[in-house]
Amino acid sequence: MSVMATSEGMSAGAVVALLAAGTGVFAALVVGGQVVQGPLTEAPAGAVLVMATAFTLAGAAATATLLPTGSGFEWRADGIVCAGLLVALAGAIAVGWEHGADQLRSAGSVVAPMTVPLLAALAERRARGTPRWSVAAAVVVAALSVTRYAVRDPFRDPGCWSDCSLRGVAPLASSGATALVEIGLALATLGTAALSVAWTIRLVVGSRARSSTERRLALVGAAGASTAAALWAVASVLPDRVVAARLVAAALVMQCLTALLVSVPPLLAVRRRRELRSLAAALGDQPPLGTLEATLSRMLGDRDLRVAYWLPQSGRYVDAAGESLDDAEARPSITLQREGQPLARIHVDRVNRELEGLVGSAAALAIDSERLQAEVRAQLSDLLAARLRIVAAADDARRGVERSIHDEVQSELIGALLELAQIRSRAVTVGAEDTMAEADTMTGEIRVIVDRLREFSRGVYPAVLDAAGLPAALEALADEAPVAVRIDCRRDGSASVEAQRAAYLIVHDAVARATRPLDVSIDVTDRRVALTIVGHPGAVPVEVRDRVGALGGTTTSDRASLRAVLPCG
Amino acid sequence: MRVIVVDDAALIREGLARLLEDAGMEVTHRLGDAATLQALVTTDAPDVLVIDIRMPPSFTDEGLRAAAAVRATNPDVGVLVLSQHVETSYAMRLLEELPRASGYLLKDRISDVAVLIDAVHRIARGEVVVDPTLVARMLGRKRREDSLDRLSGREREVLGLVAEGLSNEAIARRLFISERTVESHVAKVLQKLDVDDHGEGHRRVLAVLAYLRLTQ
Repeated sequence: MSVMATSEGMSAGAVVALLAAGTGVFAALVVGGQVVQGPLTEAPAGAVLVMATAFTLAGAAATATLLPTGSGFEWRADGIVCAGLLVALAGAIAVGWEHGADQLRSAGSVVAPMTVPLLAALAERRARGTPRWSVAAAVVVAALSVTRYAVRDPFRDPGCWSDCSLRGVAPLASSGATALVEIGLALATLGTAALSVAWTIRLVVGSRARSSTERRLALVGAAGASTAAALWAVASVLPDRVVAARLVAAALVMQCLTALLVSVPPLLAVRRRRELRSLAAALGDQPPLGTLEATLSRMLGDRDLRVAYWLPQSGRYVDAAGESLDDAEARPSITLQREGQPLARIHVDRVNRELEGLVGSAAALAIDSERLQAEVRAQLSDLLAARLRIVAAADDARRGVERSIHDEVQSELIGALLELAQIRSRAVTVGAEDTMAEADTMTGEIRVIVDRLREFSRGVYPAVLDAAGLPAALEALADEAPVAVRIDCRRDGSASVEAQRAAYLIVHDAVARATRPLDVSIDVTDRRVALTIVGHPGAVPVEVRDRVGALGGTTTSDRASLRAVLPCG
Repeated sequence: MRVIVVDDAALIREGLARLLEDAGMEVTHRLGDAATLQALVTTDAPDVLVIDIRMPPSFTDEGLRAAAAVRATNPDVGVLVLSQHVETSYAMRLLEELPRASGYLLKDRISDVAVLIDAVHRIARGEVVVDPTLVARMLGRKRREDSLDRLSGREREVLGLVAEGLSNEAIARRLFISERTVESHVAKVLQKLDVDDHGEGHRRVLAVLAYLRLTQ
């Protein structure tokens, strides 16, 4: 993805660099007074540099918008207007080019007045599309300019700014027509500019969605064009040639400044469009998780951008990792939908209509993919939590049973034993040997029951595990094991009850099935219980594996030993 | 002989008290938990405290902790801890914290009145009492290289009774042999197991139990 952007960026940059270089050379020549004389040499060097910069930027804007996209050339209206503006500016410069070809200078003088309507058009496009009257006005100005050329050659006759009698190559010549056309052109130019300003003001004041920067640029563009037009118009009817020349120079500078300002937005728009295009390309490549959010965030320069995916089953929004997102997100958001169902929500600092359209289509595939992953993750974490709850509930139930056995049944049996002891001692006192013997027998039988009950209750839940911890419980297991069991326990913290219980059950199972001596090593920390059993009989039963799995733990076994890690919390 | 009985099960508490009184002892107090025990012992110290290990609030080792607390303030009070389970770790802990005049018995064993009374007297004398079931379990545990195999049957018997806390005289009576024979058996056993001979008393018991616990 980045490779494509780089190559596009490089080609645009290369073009701009070339243009800048060329213009810089040209400007240097101009400043040196070698090439241009007349009104341009009387303009200050700063003004000339401004012209050069405007030339460069307009050229770059035109070229950038006309650069080939992935699928052939794309001629955008912006690009065409910028190209026209470029030509018009070049024409204005060519007018003052003393050593240039006469025809070129003539052509330049015809084209130069076009800068005003073109500037106005650019400014209007920033506000909202180009209205038809604007196109009509541009056509009128163009027609009048050509007509003027037909009537007189304003260039061949350098001194002829408002009235002239030389004809040169002008096909028709009529002093009356000249004045008419001249005034007509001036009025048309002025009128175009004024209309443009009025229309822009109306649009800008009325519109609300546009960003203020664009609005300001639109106003400036219209104002600049109108000022230049006014200067041109005044200069063309002024009798004083020197003053007129100065006015023309000022007009040129104004046009260049305006061109500078209104060329920038197209360049920015081009850049943003290109980035979004490469985003669309990148998203088609199955990017890693969370890339959509990261990419959008980077491209829009919004670090707090968040993408929330809608899970229809659960009826909530989650992020890419499946974590629920707070529904009450205060920031504005763009909701992407598909067939009436919400798909995802993008929380941004500023809502951008262009973004909505572009991201919607381009990112649909990536959104789907990430949303599915998010859904799976959310379900998975729900499942894991539920699993843990089930295990904990089962253990709690067992603890309850064990406690009941201890406190109730076993207690009552011992109470009975104590009563029997009483009976026996009374029998001894009165010398009733039979009763004594019976009491002894009963006592023996009940003690067996108590013993069995003790074993049974330990199988239900080993109370010693909760009371004295894992090492004590394991030692108790080892005491009664059918094989030699060595326990080596290291404690460096207190693990969770669930982890210790799982470890106990693993050892309990191993001891129950052991056929050879076992070596059990346990390492208990606050974060996990690590357990190694050397001599393990192999194949952990499914209920033990399930419990380990519910905790998110792992068991690995080879031929001789089993290793388990049981995380806490 | 003045005894305090502490057990949260009323049935057992009353049964115990009656057995002790029938044997001529004075049960000064019967308590359901250890909350007021400390204060009582301070004002009216008994000779022996008979206390259940598993009591409210946590039902784990309240009895042990209460016993240790009592001993700290009244070092002359003997402690007999009763448990429904064979919890070797608790017995070891008890003997480590209260090395003399203490005992650990299973509740079902005390239904044999003679055993109960004997235990109380022994503890009052400063001896140590360990339930035979516990000792049998420790002795019977499977070991890799069982050095206990080096002992003869009789020596093994003697070792067991030493672990139960019996004095040489008591062992002699139990096995119907002379005290001097017992002494020589004990000496040989301790030598074979490489356990230090501390003479009679609680140190010997602890040494043997520790040996049995640690050899795996």
